[in-house]
This record gives sequence, C-alpha cells and structure tokens, in this order.
Amino acid sequence: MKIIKKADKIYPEKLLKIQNPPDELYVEGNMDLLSQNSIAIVGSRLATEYGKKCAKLFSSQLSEQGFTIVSGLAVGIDSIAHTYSMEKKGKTIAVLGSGFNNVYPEENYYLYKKILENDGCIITEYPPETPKSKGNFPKRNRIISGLSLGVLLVEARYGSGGAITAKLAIKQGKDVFCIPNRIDEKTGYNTNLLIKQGANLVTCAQDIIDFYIEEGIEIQQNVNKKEAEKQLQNLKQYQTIYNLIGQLPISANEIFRITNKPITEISEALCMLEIEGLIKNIPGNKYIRN
Amino acid sequence: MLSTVKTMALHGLEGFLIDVQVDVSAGMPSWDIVGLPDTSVKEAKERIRTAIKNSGYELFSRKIVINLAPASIKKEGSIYDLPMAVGILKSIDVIYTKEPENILMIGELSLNGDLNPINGALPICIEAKKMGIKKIIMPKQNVKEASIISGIEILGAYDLSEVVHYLNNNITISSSHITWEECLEKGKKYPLDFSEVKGQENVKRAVEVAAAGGHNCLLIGSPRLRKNYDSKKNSINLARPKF
Amino acid sequence: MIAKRIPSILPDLSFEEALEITKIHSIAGTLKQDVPIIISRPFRSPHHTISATSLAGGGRIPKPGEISLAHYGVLFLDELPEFNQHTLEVLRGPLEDGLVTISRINGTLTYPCNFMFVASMNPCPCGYYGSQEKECSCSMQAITKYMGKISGPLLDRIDIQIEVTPVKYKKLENDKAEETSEQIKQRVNKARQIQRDRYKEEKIYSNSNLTPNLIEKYCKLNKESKSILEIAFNKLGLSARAYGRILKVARTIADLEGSEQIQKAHITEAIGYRNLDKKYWKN
Repeated sequence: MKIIKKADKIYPEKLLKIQNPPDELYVEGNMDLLSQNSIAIVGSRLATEYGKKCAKLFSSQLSEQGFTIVSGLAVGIDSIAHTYSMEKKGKTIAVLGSGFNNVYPEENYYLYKKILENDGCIITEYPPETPKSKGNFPKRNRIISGLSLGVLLVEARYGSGGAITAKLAIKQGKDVFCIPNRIDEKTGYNTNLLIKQGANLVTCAQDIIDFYIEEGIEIQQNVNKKEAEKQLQNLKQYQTIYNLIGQLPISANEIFRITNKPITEISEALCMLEIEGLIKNIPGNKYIRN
Repeated sequence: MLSTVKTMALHGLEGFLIDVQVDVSAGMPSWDIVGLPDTSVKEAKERIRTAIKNSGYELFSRKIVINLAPASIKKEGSIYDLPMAVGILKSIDVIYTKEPENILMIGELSLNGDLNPINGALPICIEAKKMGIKKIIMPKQNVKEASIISGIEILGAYDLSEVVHYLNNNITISSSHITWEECLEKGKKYPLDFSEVKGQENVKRAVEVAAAGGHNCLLIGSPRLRKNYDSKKNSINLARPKF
Repeated sequence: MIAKRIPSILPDLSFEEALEITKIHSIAGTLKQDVPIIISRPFRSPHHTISATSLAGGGRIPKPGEISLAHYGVLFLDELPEFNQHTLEVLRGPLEDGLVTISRINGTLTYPCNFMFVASMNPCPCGYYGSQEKECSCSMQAITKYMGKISGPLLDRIDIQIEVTPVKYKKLENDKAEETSEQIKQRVNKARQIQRDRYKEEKIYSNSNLTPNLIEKYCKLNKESKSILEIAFNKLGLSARAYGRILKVARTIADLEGSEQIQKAHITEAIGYRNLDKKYWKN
C-alpha cells in the first residue's frame, strides 16, 4: 500500500481539477492506471437482468478498446463492471468508501483480490482502519467520476448512488453516458431522466469510443500496439502473417492464397499469435487483430 | 428313411454347424419342422413342396419330420430351404449317393426350383472352413463373394435339379476361386477426388490429418456454401432430363 | 463436398480388412452383384431420421447397423444436430470400443464397428453465424440450444473440429491445380505405416485408438511444446478433456512429417483444430 499526498508529483492530475480533492490517497496495485484514460461504469446495486447484461457488454468492450474501467466495488453493476473488464485482460480501478482493512461489502473481498491479481488498482481516501459509514460512500463517488473521462450510468433509481455520481460528474464537467431503459421500470428512472435532460444516449460501446475519437482523445490502444510490437520481437518469424491480419477478418485460406506458404506453417503462426493474444479467432474461422 | 444334410446357422458373425435330419415315412400325411425354427423357416414347407414338384420330382403324401439339430440354437431365415429339400429327396431315394453328409448346403428356393441368393454367404464360408468343411453348395449368385476364400470348394448351382444331378454324379460343377489381386484389378476407383475442391486448404489439411490418424472429425459451416461447387458441376448433367 | 471425398484419401485396405468388411455387408445383404468383395473403404451417410436401432444394429433378427456397415470406413452424419439425441448417444460406446453388442431375447450378438466418425453441422439454425456475407438471424438462445443438441460426451470423442468458411466465387475460378487425392493418399499411407509399426505390440492400429496410458508413453513432448500447450490452455480456455485429443492429433501430424518427436509446429497445429471449443461451446 502506498500513501500519496496532494503535494506529491504522482498525485493524479485529474483529481486536482475537481472541487474538493482528497488530501491523501491510499493506493494498492498498479498506480499507473490512475493517469490513464478511463470510463466509470456505475449503476444500481439491485440490478435487473437487463442492467447486468448491459454492464457486461460495455465493460468488456470498453476495456478491450483500451479504456480503464472505474467503479466502486459495490454489488450489482459495479461488480459486473470490474469482473468483465478483467476478462479480456483489461484494467480496472476500484474506489472504496472505507479503509483497506474494512473492505465493504465483504462478499466482494474475492473481487478485491482478483483486481490486484490482474494488475488492477484499488484506491481510497480513508486510512486502512476506517470502518464503513453511510456518509462515506456518496463522497467517494466524486473520486470515481473525477478519475474518469466520462461516466456511464447503466441503471439508476431516483436519488441512488449512481445518480449522485452522474450529478457529480456533470458538476466536474465530465461526459455522462446513459443506457436507455424501460419507462415503467423504477430502476431506469434516473437514466431516462438524465437522457431527457441532455445526457448522451448510448446503445453500444462504440458510441462512447466514437464520442472520444471525435473529441480528439487518443485512446490507449496505442500502448497496446507498442506492447504488441514488443511481443512480436519474439515472434519475428510470424511477422509477415501478422502484417496480413488487420481489423477486417481474414481466413487462413486467404492468407494461404496471398503468401503461398504451406498451410501447416500458417496454422502454426496463427496459433502462436493467438496464444500471445495478438490476434483473435472469431466465428467463421477468421482472424482479426486483438 | 432317415437322412442327414449339413448346413449352418449364423449368429452375428459366428457360425454353428446344423444337422438337418429328415425322416419320410408312411403314415398320416403331415409335415413337421422341429428344432427351434422361427416362422420364416416354417414357411419353407410350401416353397420346398412346390419347388420339388416343379423340378420334376414327385413327392407323395407322406409323413415328413424335419429336425434341425442342435435344437438349442434358434434358426432364422430362408437358407435352410436347400438342405431340407435335399434331405427329403434323399429320404425318398431321388438322391442315392452317400455324399451329401459331407457337403454343407445353403440356399433359398423359389417356387420353380431356382435357387435365390442369400445373405451371409461369405461369413458362412469362413466359419465352415474353420470347422473343416471341404465343400459347400450355394446359389450361383453368391459364389462371387465367397470365392475369395481359398482352401474350400465353392460350388454354385442355379436350381434344385442341378444340385440333384451333381449329387448323383451325373454332372460336375467346377469350383471357382478368385484372388485378392484380381479383385483389386476389377475394383473401381473412388469416383470423387479432392482435386475438384477448390480452395479450403485448411479444411483439406485437417481432413488429411484426420485420415492419417483415423481421427473423428466435425465440420462446421453452412452446407449451402460447402456444396456450392459440386452442385454447379452436377447441374450440367441435370439440365436435360432423360426418359 | 469435402466429407464425401474422405474415402478417396484413406489408406488402402488389407486383405483381412476387406474380408471383415465384406462379411458384415454379406450378412446385411448390401453387397452388390458386380462387386463381390468390397475393396474400398465404405462411406455410410444415413439420413438424420434414422432410428437408434438401425444405427447401432438390431431388429428381430439382429442385423448389423450403419455403424457396423461403416467398419474400417467412414460414418458420415450430415446435419448432426438434426439427429435424434437419443440416437446420437448410441454412438458413445461403439466409438470407444470399436464394437457393438446387441442384446435381444434370442441372444447376444457382437458386431465390429471400427469406423472414422465424420459429422457436419451448421454453426446455427439459420447457417450464417460468423459469416461475413449475411447477418445471422438467430437469437443467442437458439444458437445455444442448437449446439446443445450435441452432448459433451459425444463431442469429447471428436478429435478434430474445423470450421468451413465459404470460398468467394472469384477464388473458385482460380485455375491453380489442386492436389489430387492420390497425392494426399500417399502421405496418409506413409503416416499409417509408421503408426502400424510403432503400435505392433499394443494391438491398436492408429493414433486415434490411443488410451490415456499409451498417450503418456508415445506422445512425449519436449520442453518448448509443453510450455506452449500450457500457455494455450490458460489463455485460450480449452477444456481439460481437450488435452488428450490435442496430443493424439499432434502425434499424427508429427507422423505425417515423419518426425519422431512432437515439435512445436505440430502441437500448435493440433491446438488449432480445437478452436470451436473456445467459441461455441464455451464454459
């Protein structure tokens, strides 16, 4: 665990810009994440199946595209956002509303461990012994929104924690994205309300990515690319085949046609590249870059 | 008079030697088949009676008892027609040599006395050879498949009277035998070839591996797309219907 | 179609094998008059309305079923999920043992059925899942249900799974000469000969018959291949039951190349043949 003071150089710049930045930050795990592009995914603890499904989808896709997912380690949408961000080797940050020795809720302690195992980051403004207390949770929401470029609200009842985070985000000048919900569903009241008031309506992860591309923000995928190139050093012999695989799906047969290499060599290369996580096999037996 | 003819029952691929014992005697005209025959064997009565008549032999109304020994083995099918008919003809002295006891017989009779092909001729020959049988009489149509077996005389007959004449030493039937090499020469090449499949190198490779190791394999994909090329080729042949 | 051409590259029959096949066909009465002895490996492709009895064999007078008629040849089931599930489960024992035992009131019969099982299926009910040309119209549930028709134990017995992707028309026009079956067959024959020599003592004929004990004995990996296999398992989420299958297939690939050791290239290619594990039957 590390303690970062406001005066420290490594104190995340983003947090300095918000209204009342915490004086001290207690951090465990990968600190570099704090300065990277991230999206907060927040929502109801009593999530419906629809909400869970959306959280899964957005979390895994956004993290795949290089966004760090920030959330609050609560049950419901938060846990799902954390879990599925890690599924595709993405990174995630959890902001606690209590000290490290009093992780709340207790049933998410395994998730806490898992985040650290997967090179994620846990952060809180409270000293380790601080017990959970009702007032602390809404307060930590300002850190969640403060750390992120924008906040994605999946499902929120009127006046819920998620709604507070969204409100804070607007105050901080962050972008707010909402997933539309049924109008007769209480859990979707606040998301629909925010859409009415002018929040960005999103129906897929690409909406958010496109939004930031238009804003001119460079998404971290570049870092991934660099890493990929580093890995490729070890896999130099497969370079020609890797170069053929792009964002558009290509099949082994097409590679065979182009390169005229024996099919055995191609399948070896494809397998090695896939094991290294550089390319991905999609249904239809085609390959794309990861 | 009592007579015995040898035949064989097939259980799966396993053969059992069966003695067909026939007794024809004076008494109330009747016809009984005993020794665990199933309905298809009992039906043989009518076929045999008519076939004997149509082959030119007279079967007077007498008491006929046929026993298929051992009685513990279930007998099914029509392969016992010929041995039963020969047994009867022997009992009424139409066949007068001793020989039938050393020859194995199988075959189905039709009403005009012709022999119809049967199923399982090859395994019967193989099993018979194992049991030390030297000669076997069967329908002519089955000779081809059986003649690959060496070390046993395979005799093919067209009809009942040919069998009778052979057994009475009036005629000879030459046994036939073909070798494995002859079979290979006669065999046709497999009609389909991989050179007709364009592209799909990775699938072809997978299939090659599967064939080389005898691996089971599963091909996943839309059949419409997989069959595309074939159907295009065949459509030329289909274009003009023939009567 | 590719499956129908498989017999053209299967290794030649020996006299004993031909005799055994002909025996079964003789009992079933499926021999043709002009071909007294079966000299090419049988290819059986029953329609999916087939009953369990006619697949495994049986009836009042027990006759060999399709699996026995495919002895030493290929049993091809087109549109696998359309088959009655109960019918497919019948295959489990015979695929493992190479023989089928039919019990009836009249007695118990055993027919051999050492066949290569080839099946084909659509990726989903509409057939376009994963296709780039047209969008798939099936719901996720429909796809799961469709795939679920093939039970795990049956899938477990399939070593190689390969996706067939459509070939664009332009490519069909390509005049490049394709390999003939005869050329492929020569390689297959060679690989089979290696296997026959190796397994002389073990009473098996090909790599597909390897039991777990024998896999340990004959499919030794060097350090590099071992680590690749381990990484692949962790990263690609392969099921544990795929392990033995991959080793067997890798052994065959090594035999095709005439290599005594299983090399890295062999193991990676074998892993490639399990990729449906990852996509369709995940979890």
